[in-house]
Amino acid sequence: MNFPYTEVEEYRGFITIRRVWPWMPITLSNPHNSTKVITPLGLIDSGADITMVDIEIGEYLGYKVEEGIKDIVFGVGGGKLIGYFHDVNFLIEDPKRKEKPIKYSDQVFFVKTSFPTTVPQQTAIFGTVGLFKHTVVTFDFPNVVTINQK
Amino acid sequence: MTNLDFKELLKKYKTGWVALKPNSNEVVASGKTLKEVMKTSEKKGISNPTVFKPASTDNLYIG
Repeated sequence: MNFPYTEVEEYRGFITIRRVWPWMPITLSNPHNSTKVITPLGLIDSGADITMVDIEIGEYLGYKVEEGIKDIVFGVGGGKLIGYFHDVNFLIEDPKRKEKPIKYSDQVFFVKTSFPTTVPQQTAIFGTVGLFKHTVVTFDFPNVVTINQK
Repeated sequence: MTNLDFKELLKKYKTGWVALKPNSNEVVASGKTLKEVMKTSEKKGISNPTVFKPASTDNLYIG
């Protein structure tokens, strides 16, 4: 199934630069409390080992976030984030509703505090655990991102 | 495929949460907390919007 890239503008001095990012909607739900689902728009990041999601999403889905498996993740430049791993159901739906949805379960790292404000993506980052383990992702920059189930 | 255009949207929304009509850049609700935004979206008949936290797009990212 195909997804569009997201286009934004960046201002550097007097110049406006067009930037195009692979931000995709992926629906998450709590296998232990299926009353709610939520669809964050997150960055598809093949360089990320895990999937990281804002804590408010975890709380909305009914997780007692701090009861998960605590860990620390590190980024380029040495910045670190504390968070908690939980089991989550994933659902990727075709925007055109033509192809069968992709469904799987994996772990999500709910970040204890917000993402650093310097990072353009503040909601979710989908990485190896949580996306690439289960799907084949093709980046045809800047036109289309294709995601298929393995 | 046409890109999802967030240029105007990110000029208007700088913090908090924004809920969009699925697969579009049409804003359904915005607010300080996710809970608040989801409640408003549901009232407007969209129970599963696409949600995101707007942020500055002026920094380069590597990850």
